[in-house]
Amino acid sequence: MRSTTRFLLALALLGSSAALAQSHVRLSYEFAVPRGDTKDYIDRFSSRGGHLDVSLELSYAFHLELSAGLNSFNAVKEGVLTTTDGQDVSGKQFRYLNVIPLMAGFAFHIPLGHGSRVWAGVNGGAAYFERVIDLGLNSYSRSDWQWGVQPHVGIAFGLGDGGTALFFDGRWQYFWERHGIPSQQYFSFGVGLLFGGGPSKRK
Amino acid sequence: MRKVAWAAALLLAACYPGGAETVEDLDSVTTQHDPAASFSTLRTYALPDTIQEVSAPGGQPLPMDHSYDARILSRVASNLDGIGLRRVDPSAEAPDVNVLVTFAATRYAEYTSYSFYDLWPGWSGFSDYDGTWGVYYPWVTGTTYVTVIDAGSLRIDMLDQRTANPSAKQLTAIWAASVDGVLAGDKESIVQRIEKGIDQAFAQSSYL
Repeated sequence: MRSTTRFLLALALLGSSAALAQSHVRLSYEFAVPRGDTKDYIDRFSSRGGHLDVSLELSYAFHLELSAGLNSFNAVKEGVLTTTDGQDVSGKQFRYLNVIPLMAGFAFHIPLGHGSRVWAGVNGGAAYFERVIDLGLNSYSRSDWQWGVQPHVGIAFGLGDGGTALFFDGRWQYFWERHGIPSQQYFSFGVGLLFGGGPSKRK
Repeated sequence: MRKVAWAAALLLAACYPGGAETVEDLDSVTTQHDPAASFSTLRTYALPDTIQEVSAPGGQPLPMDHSYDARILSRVASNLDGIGLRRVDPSAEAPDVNVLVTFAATRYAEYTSYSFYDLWPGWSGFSDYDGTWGVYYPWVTGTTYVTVIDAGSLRIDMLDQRTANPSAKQLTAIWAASVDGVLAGDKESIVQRIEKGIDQAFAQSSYL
């Protein structure tokens, strides 16, 4: 009951023109560095990625974050691949990993004046992992959703009075083991433009 | 500034391996074994001195040049000797395993749709058309483009004579290897790739 009330209150805040006036959108180009089991699968940084973040101010400096992205990794690996049906297959492996994280969470945004700001927050949600290995004339794939978290920080520098800013951000993307697929993690770093981020006012 | 951005984008794209670039990149070796088999007790093997042709499912079978049979079989035998097995004449001594080598060469033709307009965008010869147009081949259904691949597979089967089941008339394959690739280039290079694949098949089967 209490959670329902909180949800309705959040919706009311989101719907208010005051909240939407402080909201902004961030669009970024992103590169990523795999870690842990992700690095074991594909040991190569990704220079293909992007993120779209919608940030809605719920109260002064406190934002609801909605986030969607894409990170594409690929690499070549030599070695023996053991398939799920017990085959050992060797040859040049062309490995691909596409990750589509869909997250929501909260962040604190500290205004620095002149449209600049710093922020830190945590998102939670899931990501669709598509793994493909092309080996010889065959292709092996395994895809699934995995639950995860996404702590993130960023800094934006205002580009005038229009609410546009240049920003840099960093995320640690961690996804828990699911359906026998090990946990996945990677760091991603973005550079992009923030739109609609007018000076925040205390209510 | 725009040129610099394009150059940077192209540079990043160029850094990525986009897939196979040579015929060798498509070579692969697959091995499989019976986990219940006792490989450590194997002592002898027999090996026919010819490679027989088999047909792969789908595609059009291609003829095989048998002038390299002895060389390929010699490579298989040297690997079997290398794991400590002794070759025997099956007419004089019953071997623990029979090792059979077969080959399948197949031409696969794949029909893929394509849009001619998008391949030459802006060409004045296509001024009356757009990207929604396709090509009709009266002899083929739909809008198609033909891709032809000649693929070859050398297969090695190890059949356990000790566990032959006369009532079921069945021999158990305790190990199988398949050396697969695209048949392209001169015959010498193809045979060298096959020999390399045979060595790899034994190398990745440490239980033998």
